Amino acid sequence: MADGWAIVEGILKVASALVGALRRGDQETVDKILPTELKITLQKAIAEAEAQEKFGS
Amino acid sequence: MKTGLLLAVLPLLLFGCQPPQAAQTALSTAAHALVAADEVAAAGYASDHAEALEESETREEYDAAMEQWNDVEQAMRVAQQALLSAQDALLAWQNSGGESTFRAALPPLLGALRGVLEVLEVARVSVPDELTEAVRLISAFLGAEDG
Repeated sequence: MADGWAIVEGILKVASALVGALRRGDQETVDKILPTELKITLQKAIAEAEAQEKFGS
Repeated sequence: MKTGLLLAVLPLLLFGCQPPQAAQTALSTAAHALVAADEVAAAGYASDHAEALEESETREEYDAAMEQWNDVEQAMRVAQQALLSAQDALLAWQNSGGESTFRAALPPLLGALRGVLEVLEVARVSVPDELTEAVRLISAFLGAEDG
């Protein structure tokens, strides 16, 4: 029975996520949502340059 | 098995829309989630980099301090590529009815998103709820139990 409730809970969570996504109007394509470069990738490049400046390699 | 089937058809039952539309919702949600996670992770990367740069005396020491953040960056880049591939596959499905190509793109995408969740937890970054939701949505399309 506990498994049954877990299944129902899982389905409700998915349903809730879908309803939220629909409410937000998420029909934009991924390429329009994602930046060309992630901020963390840009941050890594900056960090690498600073590390090279300090350590020389 | 029945649960997997129910999860797989749930998006269609809920919205009564064409499969590609529900699939687009799942991908868009995942992309927004990745953007939200990127915001948090980039700030964490910058903060720990500044500290590591100041405290490290050698390059090796610095690299060791930043290793988990570099893992986060790599995982997020992999997820970004997986999302773009899945989007291409979805467009192919919409244009020519090739659903199997889209379905084939989902396991790598799910793996990539789960990989992001794992490395964020290792880096002790608070995981945006949207990202967990996105994993559930993609799992629903695969008809798999999410973990």
